[in-house]
This record gives sequence, structure tokens and C-alpha cells, in this order.
Amino acid sequence: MRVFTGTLSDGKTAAADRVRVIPETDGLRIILMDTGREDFWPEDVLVTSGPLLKGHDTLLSHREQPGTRLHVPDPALAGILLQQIPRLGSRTHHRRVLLPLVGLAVLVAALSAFLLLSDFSPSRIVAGMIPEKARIAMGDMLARSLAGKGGFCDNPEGIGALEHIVKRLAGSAPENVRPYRVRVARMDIINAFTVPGRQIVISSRLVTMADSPEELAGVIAHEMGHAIEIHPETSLVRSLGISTAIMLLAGGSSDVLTETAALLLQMSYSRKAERAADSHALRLLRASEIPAEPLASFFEKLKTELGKDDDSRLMELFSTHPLTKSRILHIRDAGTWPTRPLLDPVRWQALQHICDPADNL
Amino acid sequence: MAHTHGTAEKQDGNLHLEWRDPPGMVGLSLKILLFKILTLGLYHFWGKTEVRRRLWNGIRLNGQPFEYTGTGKELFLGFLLVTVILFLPTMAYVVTLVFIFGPESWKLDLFLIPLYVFFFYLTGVAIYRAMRYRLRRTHWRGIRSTLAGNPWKYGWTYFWTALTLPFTLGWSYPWRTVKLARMMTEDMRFGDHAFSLDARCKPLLGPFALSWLSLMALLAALVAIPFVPLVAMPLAIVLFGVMIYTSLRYRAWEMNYLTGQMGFDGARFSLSATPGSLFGLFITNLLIVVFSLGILAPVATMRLFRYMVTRMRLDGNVDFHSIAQATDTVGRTGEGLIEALDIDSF
Repeated sequence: MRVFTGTLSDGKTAAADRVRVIPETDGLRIILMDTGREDFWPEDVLVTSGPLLKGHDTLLSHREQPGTRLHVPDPALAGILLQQIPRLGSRTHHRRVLLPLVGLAVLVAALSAFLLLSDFSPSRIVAGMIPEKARIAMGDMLARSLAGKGGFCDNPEGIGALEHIVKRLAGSAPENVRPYRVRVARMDIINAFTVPGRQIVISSRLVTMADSPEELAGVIAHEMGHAIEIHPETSLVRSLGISTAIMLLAGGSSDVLTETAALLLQMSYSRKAERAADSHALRLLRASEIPAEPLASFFEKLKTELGKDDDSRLMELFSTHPLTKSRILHIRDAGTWPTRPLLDPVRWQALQHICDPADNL
Repeated sequence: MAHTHGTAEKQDGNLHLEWRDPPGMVGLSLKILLFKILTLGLYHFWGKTEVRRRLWNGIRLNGQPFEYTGTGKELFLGFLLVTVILFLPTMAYVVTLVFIFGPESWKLDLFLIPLYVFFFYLTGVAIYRAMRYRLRRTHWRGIRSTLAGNPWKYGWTYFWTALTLPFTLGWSYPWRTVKLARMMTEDMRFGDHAFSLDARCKPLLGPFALSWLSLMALLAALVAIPFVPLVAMPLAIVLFGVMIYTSLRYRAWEMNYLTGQMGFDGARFSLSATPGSLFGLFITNLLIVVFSLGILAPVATMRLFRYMVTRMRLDGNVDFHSIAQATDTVGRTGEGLIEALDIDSF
């Protein structure tokens, strides 16, 4: 039988008495050193504010006298109690705390997976409620920041040719009652962006890389598809929502893990979005009697360029518009339809030089 | 066992404050990381609680450990509460304004100013409430602590005294520090007994002047670099070192002075922080946190606790018999405001 020494306080004042503590099979015998008075704390009244730890001292309280504290500095007592009363240990504590938390996390993950896989998108519903004026203002700000110092190209002949393409594409579809705004920005990357408020920004390098007006029209039709699906508005709302949700989950602290999770969530969605935009593009091209094959060959051209060298300017395009074989097949599978010419060679030349000063032509 | 006789202390009332390193802090840090991954980060609040429980346990007064009785659930609920009543309305307010005025309008900025002011005011309130939560969950021999004042009053003082800083070019800093420390300390209770702080700002002015002047000299040298680079560049490097030293010296002086003026019952506190040891602590803690990618942050906090407790002394007499349990009501949620505002220190 081991005898430990410690202190006992009653929780009414901050004074304490020195005691001897004797662990017995069904509880602890406590003897006041000063007066010799004895007390017995049965096993089931022993409580702690946290789990008892091996190698630490023991601090116990009495279930029916919450203020009382029994302190024994010798770590051996904790070892004895842990063997005798497992519920005081950290395993029980972990089961009680960790299991519900893991359950909650699994629930949240399952719910997110369901939202991702199903067509139900709360972000899109919210995005649809943003007023037109706000979308245009927001989109214009984004377009300007994308264009950066280079600014937008303003050769009037070139703009005229570009508008001709946009009108032909937009005029064909019933949902295009509101106008599109398509601009070319002086940028040394190959990319096209759709921003809120049906606004499209095409990089000057993409324009010069296109071999025909039909190739460029295909790209614009694809971007119009994003605009019809309000993808830019939706992704803004989503990233706001995702970062809020992750902030909640991570308890205010966002680290590499959560940032990556957010990025992955957004990436996997955008593949589906690209497919939807392609379908719209095919519909618009067919209605405006522009062939789809040039879009497919333009994508292919980009893909071979990418295969040749890992041009980081190209990489940028593929990271925002994942380009897969199945997408090219999707476009080719749409078949052919009656077409008529889009731009004469002179106007196409003007569009290719949209970023030149007006007097150069 | 209804009555305590108080035989644990010798009659001379000697107070003995000591620190004992809690074992297994590295293992605990790794365990928390693992559990955070398993719960998608939700374990954060429970992990924080477990760290505190061990740190509090490391502080011993007369051989008896302090006890942290807060729970992860309280911290989590507090955080959720603040998110719902504070952040969602704020977000709604900002988004509505953007829709009304557009993102680049000057009117938007105008309507955002009250929001900034309100959040700055809340910072002081959050500091006070977090301190109160921690004190209310701090027990020693079953007696708990608390802050008896009003968080909004502290928040207001925190707010308006901060406004004096730019107008006085920073010279109101020692005065503000003493004023806020007095408010906080004099509201502090252990059981039903109050702490006292007999501090004025005059003793802090000398060291503060030195650190202020060295900062100004450094700024002057930085401004001069484009004109006389050969002279100003090495001078700026030297003055940077001087600035670091004088500001650490001020920090140590301030900590020692404020602790030294603090009293409880018949006891007086004292602290012996030095600029060199503070510098060593900051640098080593920074390295630990950076190289472990933040995972070993609990170890760094433990080292800070060890530094403070081992350099603190408590002299005099405390009549433990006369200290009765605190009687204020204890809230059920914890420090959500400070978690949400991200100004938490440990």
C-alpha cells in the first residue's frame, strides 16, 4: 500500500491542508495530517478538469463538492489512477471529443462533394441575384486590372472588324438581348477572359496567333458561353463562400492545407464549366453560320505548342481553361453545317493590327 | 471535509512561485496537427485548450499548480457566435454598399469608415473579454479569477487613447500603456480579492525617449541614403541595431516596472527581464515557429511562459484564509471576438 502526500483545499477559501492520500481498490482515503481526520472519496466521485496524464501530477476534484481540489505532486499516483479508473485518461477524452468532430468533418466533406457532383449550385443562385449595374461595374474594374499598364487596343478599323464578329455571334441567339462588350488588351500571354457583366477581354497575342477570323470567332463564342452561364459571377460568389466556409472550419486560421483545398474545389468545378461553355459556343457558331472546325484546330495548335516547349505564357491559358482531348473531340463531334464568310481579308488584317496606332494602316 | 485549516503554508507566509516544464509538448504539437487534419481543422479549439491546460499546470504557487478549466467547446461556440452576429452582417453591409455605389466609388469608402472605427473599438473590447475568459477559467486551489470591470469601458479607453498616438508623435505611448495596464490590473480579482497597480508613466519616459530617438535617427539615415549612400548606408545598419536594442530595453523596463508596481493582498510582484534575454527568446521562438511551419508554436508559447514565470517573484504575505471564491457569473462561450479578430497571442 502506497502513501502519498499532497494538499486539500475546500474551494471556499484559498487555504489548503496537508494530507496523506492512500489509493484503495474503490477510491481514495484522505487523512488530514494536522488533525488526523479521515475522509474517503469513492471512485465515481473523482473528476478532473482535463484528462489525467502519465508522468504528470494529480489534481482531482469531488463531483459533489465542485470547488474542492486534491493535489498530489508524485506522478506515480496518476499512473495508479489511470489503471484503476480508465475514464480519467486521455483515451476517453479523445473518444468523447474527437469522434463527434470527425463525424462533423465527414458530414461537411460529404455535403461539399454532393454539391460539386450535382448540378445544384447555391453560388449560381446568389450570382443570378446580383443587379446588372453592379455586374458591369465589377467586371469593368476586373477587365481594367487584367489589361494592366498595356491598356486596351483602340485602332478604329480593328475595333470595327471585332464588333462585326461579335454582332454576328450575338445576333444569332435569343438570350443575347443584352449586349456583350469585347475588348483586346495589350498582353504578352495567350488567353481570353470573361468577367462579370458579359464583358470579354482577349489578349493581343491570342489575336495575332489566330490564323483566321473563324478561329478567333470560335474563341469569342466560347467566352460568350461563360457569360451566358454567368460563370464569372458564380465563381466570385463561390470563392467568397468557400473562403468563409473554410475560415469557419479552420477556426479563423487558414494555412497551406485549407488554401489548397479551396483551390482544388474551384479547379474541379471549372472543368465542368469549360464543357458547358463549349456547348454554348457550338450552338452560337451553328446559328451564325460559322464553322466549328477552326476552333478545334486552334485548340489543337495550342496543344502542340504546349507539347513543344513549356512556355509559361501558354501554361497560363491551360490553367484557367483546362484543354483536354475530349474537349476537342466534343467540338469535332458536333459535325458541320452551312457556313458563309465572316470577314474579308482586308478587315481581318485590320483586326490583326488592332493594337497598332490608327495612322499606321 | 467542510473546513480547511490552512496547514499547507508555513506561518511565515513565504510565497514561492516556480515553473515546471510540462512534459511532452512536442508530442502534443504533433498530435494536435494530426487531429486537425482528421477533423478538417475543427480540432483547433480543442488543441488550444489542451495546450493551455498544460501551460497553466506548469505554473506553481507554493507547490500547487494553476488549473485551466476552459473547454474546446466554449471556444468553438464563442467563435461561431461572433461569426454569426458580427461577420455575416458586416459582409452583407459591405456587399450591399458595393452594389449600391459600385466598387470604385468614393461614397463606398465614406460608408466604410464607420466600419473601420467600429472594428478598432472592438479590438479593445475583444482584448478585455479574452482576458476575462481566461481568468475566469483559471483556478488555484479551486478558487478562480476574474475581471470585474466593463469590457466596453476598456474598449473605449483603448480606442480614444490610441487616437492620441499620432498627434503626440507616439509620445503618449507610455502614458497609454500605464493607463490601460492600470484599468486591467485593478479590475483583476483572485477569488474576491483585487489586484493593485501603483504605476505612473514618468518612470517609463527616459527609456522611451531613448528608443524614440533611435527610431527617429534610423528614419533620418534611411531618408539620407539616396543622397549620401556611402555615409548613410553603414550608419543606417548601425542605427538599426541601436533601435532594436533600445526598443528591447524599453520593453524590458516597462515589463519590469509594471510587474514591480503590482500588488495582491500583502504581496508584491517583481520581474527581472533583460533586453538580451528578451532578444534571445524572440529570435529562438521565431526560428522554432518558422522552421516547424507553425506546428511547434505550442513549444514557443511554453518557452515564453517559462521565461516569464522563472523571472517573476512574489514577496510578502498573503492571507489565503481570507480569500473567498469569486461570485460573478461565468459565461458559457469563450473569447470568440478575439479569435475572430485574429489578435490572439496564446
